[in-house]
Amino acid sequence: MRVHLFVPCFIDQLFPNVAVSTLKVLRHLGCDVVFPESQTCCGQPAYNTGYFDEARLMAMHEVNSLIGMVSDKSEFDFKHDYIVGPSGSCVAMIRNSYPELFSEDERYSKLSLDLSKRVYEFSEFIDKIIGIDNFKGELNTTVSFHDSCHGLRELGIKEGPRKILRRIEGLKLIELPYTEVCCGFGGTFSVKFPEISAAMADEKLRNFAGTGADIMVSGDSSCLMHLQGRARRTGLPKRFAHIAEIMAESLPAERS
Amino acid sequence: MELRSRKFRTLYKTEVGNAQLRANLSKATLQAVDKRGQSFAEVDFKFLQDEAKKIKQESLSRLNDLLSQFEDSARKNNCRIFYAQTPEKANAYVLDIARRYGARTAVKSKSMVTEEIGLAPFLIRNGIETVETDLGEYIVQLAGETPSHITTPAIHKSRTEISRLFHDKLGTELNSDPAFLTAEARRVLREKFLSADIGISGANFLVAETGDIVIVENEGNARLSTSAVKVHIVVTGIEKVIPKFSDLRIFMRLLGRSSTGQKITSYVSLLRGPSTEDEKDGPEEVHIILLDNGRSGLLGTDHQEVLHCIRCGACLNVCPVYRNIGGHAYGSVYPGPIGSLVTPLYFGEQNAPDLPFASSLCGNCTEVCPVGIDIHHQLLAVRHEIKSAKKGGVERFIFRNYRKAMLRPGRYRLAGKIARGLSKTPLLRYFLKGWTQHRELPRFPSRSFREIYKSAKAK
Repeated sequence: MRVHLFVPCFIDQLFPNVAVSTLKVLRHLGCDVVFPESQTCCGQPAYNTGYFDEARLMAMHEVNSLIGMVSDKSEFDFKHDYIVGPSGSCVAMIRNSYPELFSEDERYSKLSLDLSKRVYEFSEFIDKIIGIDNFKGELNTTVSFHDSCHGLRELGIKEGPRKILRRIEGLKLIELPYTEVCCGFGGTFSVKFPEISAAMADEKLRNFAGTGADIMVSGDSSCLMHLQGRARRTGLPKRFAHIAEIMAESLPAERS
Repeated sequence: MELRSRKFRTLYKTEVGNAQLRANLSKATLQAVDKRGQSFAEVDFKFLQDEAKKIKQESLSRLNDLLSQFEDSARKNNCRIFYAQTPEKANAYVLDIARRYGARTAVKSKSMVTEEIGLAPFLIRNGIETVETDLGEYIVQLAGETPSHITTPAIHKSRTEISRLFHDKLGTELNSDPAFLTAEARRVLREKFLSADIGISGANFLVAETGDIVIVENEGNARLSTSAVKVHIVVTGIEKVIPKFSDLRIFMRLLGRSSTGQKITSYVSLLRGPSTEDEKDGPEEVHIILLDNGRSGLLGTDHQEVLHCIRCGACLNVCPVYRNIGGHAYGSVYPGPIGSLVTPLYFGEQNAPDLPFASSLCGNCTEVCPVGIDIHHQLLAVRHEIKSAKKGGVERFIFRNYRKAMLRPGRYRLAGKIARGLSKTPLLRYFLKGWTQHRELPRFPSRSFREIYKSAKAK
């Protein structure tokens, strides 16, 4: 199964280990993974701030890159290949918002609709396409899973990541109270209204501290970047990790 | 009320710093969220939401016809209808009736539309004592404030704060027992009901087929305000009309559950006009004021669905932004997610330039909306309209250059490298102060993923 890896810009630049882990896990599960190197940003920051024209230009570039039409030699097979990204938010941008952005552009409208059927969030891809049973890991730790809003509400991801985490021997999952409440990141919202954003993070971190878990795991590094940044500022010594990182750490080769 | 939504940036900063307020809101809204969830466990929310949305879509697509039909039905029931384009016209009409009747006191039940037009303060300025009779509204009126929530006006106040208020204004003992406080309010309000000449209410639904004015409530004050008076004046928005009486079977199941987690509210009044000769109770005259005030401008636009709103307050209760700043921060009679739409769309986008951005677009509002308004995507659409209307500016400049970099993978790589290189310098921290004032920056890695990927591939 061939996978074109979609690595959101901020993961590429700030959290490369998330992408490395994603690659590792997908390869471990038998996928033939390629990374189209001309990809940059899906355009979501501009889109959610209301700059649809700028977002559309970035979206065009991203579509072309992901299907191997910019500089890479690996062309995308719409019947068999998949695009997989370790971010519910950025995948939702491609799957749900691209078709809307391109509603008046015949060529890109069709392309983005075709693409939306082939693009998957990382845990969703393992849950729905590869099959959870193919994965098994071992890691002694206690975690809580944070549902990102876009993963949860735009993509309908809820049980998948939990099922995956339960495949890790030694890992204990403790549910967060009010897990479906937003953590307060919200893209440019976090810098436009930082006091509200931080207050929302504090609510989430209070609930997290209450679980007694060691690690907050999520499918979106953007939520984690915000929560971790706030936790470090307020002195909450906890680890924040992407589900791909936890999975990669739980693989046999990773344990020495 | 006076529209202060332009000042949102200043207003929210005070509110978010108020720990007591946040504690009050957190307790009350999360309780409402839990109750709502439990109450929908026994009915098919999706089905009801779908049906309600269809009814609202149909109603709005032929609103003029429905309004004419309602007018005919209501006239047959001996009600008088007045269309008010603006708040001023609605207020003047009410004052006119009050003067004709020589009214000295008016009792008012809860109504967001009367808040929107500032009716109570207007009547008071004109010498007519106007008393809010909903407990929450009464508290807010005593405190000289405005409601901070659509269905729970005094949600921002704790019991202790309310008991202090009653002590100061009514001379009651300092006792924060809700039963005691309610009894005190009831004692004062009972006198007002008995002496009032006119009663003012809103309406939750207007039924075109029958002319029914539907009012849901929990305290019985709306029933008293509309029946124990000589004149009953209904003030409501044109979008409240629905086609058939049987449509209520959907809305009644949704409204109570969405607001308070009740299967149905304690009182549902179906009013059809003045008392007839064989009836002992009821008003002599019933007037229905139908307010436009920016509503008809949304008909036929992409924002029409915003008019579906039945003012249940569910989107406020689930909203973590609302929970942390409260209703007053919005500077509008309509706060929360729906308020961030209604305010710019009814009263002009220039009057609420920040409200549509004051959302993390988490979508919880859309999920719980009983009439299927896609609230967070509507917010996004309004963001786009606001940005499109404004030329130039620093933010646009940043996004244009950001886009330019993103279209050239080489420039993107270079920009990323420079930014990561600057990560430990004060320059970057200053540039990102919206972030760094409240949070630490992540530890910037020396190599991006693509650099790692490339070097691994080369090996």
